[in-house]
Amino acid sequence: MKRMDFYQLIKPLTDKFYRMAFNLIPDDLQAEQLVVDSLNAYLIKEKKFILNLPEFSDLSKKELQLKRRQCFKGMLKYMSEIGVRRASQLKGQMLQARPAEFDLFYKLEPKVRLVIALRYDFLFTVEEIEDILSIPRYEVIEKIHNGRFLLMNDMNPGLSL
Amino acid sequence: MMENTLDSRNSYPQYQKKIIGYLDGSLSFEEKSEFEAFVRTHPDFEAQIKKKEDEISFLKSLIPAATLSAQGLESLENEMKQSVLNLLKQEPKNVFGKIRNSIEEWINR
Repeated sequence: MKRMDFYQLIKPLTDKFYRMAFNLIPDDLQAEQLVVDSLNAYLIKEKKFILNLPEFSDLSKKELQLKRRQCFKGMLKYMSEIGVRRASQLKGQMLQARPAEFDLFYKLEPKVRLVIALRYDFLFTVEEIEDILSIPRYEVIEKIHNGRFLLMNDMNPGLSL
Repeated sequence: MMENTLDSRNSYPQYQKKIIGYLDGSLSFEEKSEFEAFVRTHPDFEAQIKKKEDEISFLKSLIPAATLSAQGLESLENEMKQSVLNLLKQEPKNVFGKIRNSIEEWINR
């Protein structure tokens, strides 16, 4: 696949990348930087795979969507690695920046936040999250359960899940 | 009649496990049809789906859906484009490759 074709493939995902980055680091500039850094890491590591993708014109609409989703998941893999590390480093600085109405969400550990966002915002299945984060399934389920418990219980104390 | 009720109650856990898959669209076509047929014949089960659906929307409402301004989006797209152009550059094999790369860069400027 040509460079510009690849750009056209991922361009419609820009706002989703940003949304995910902001879920990890609630600061405009930091979130944008995270998107660019994750893309750079993805391009460097997966250059061969990207250049070997079929030509844009050879792909049907359905195949195009599948490839786009594949690239989305691929880039999220790098974003999760870089983002979780960076979110932990910037934890102190982000206390003031995070939007008050989502305080509960940002109180969660970065990795739990990431799993909750992948599951409930982007609607990825447990198997897909397992693949994106390269962690065992039981860990994904545990993080979903913990995150959900903390969010639901803090909002509705006494609610049983 | 009673046997039928017991039979369907026994199959509840099997379908309960499929609620999330049904809601996020990860069930196969056959599984989805089977699930929908079960729901149609068990109205009480529908309430459980509704409860799960409400829980998912509630959790979704607790996650920020950050968006970029039109200007911010354009600037981020430009940065992404530059990254793609710079990092996916193929080393030219000959003089024609060099010319092709230069033309491509000039067009995409």
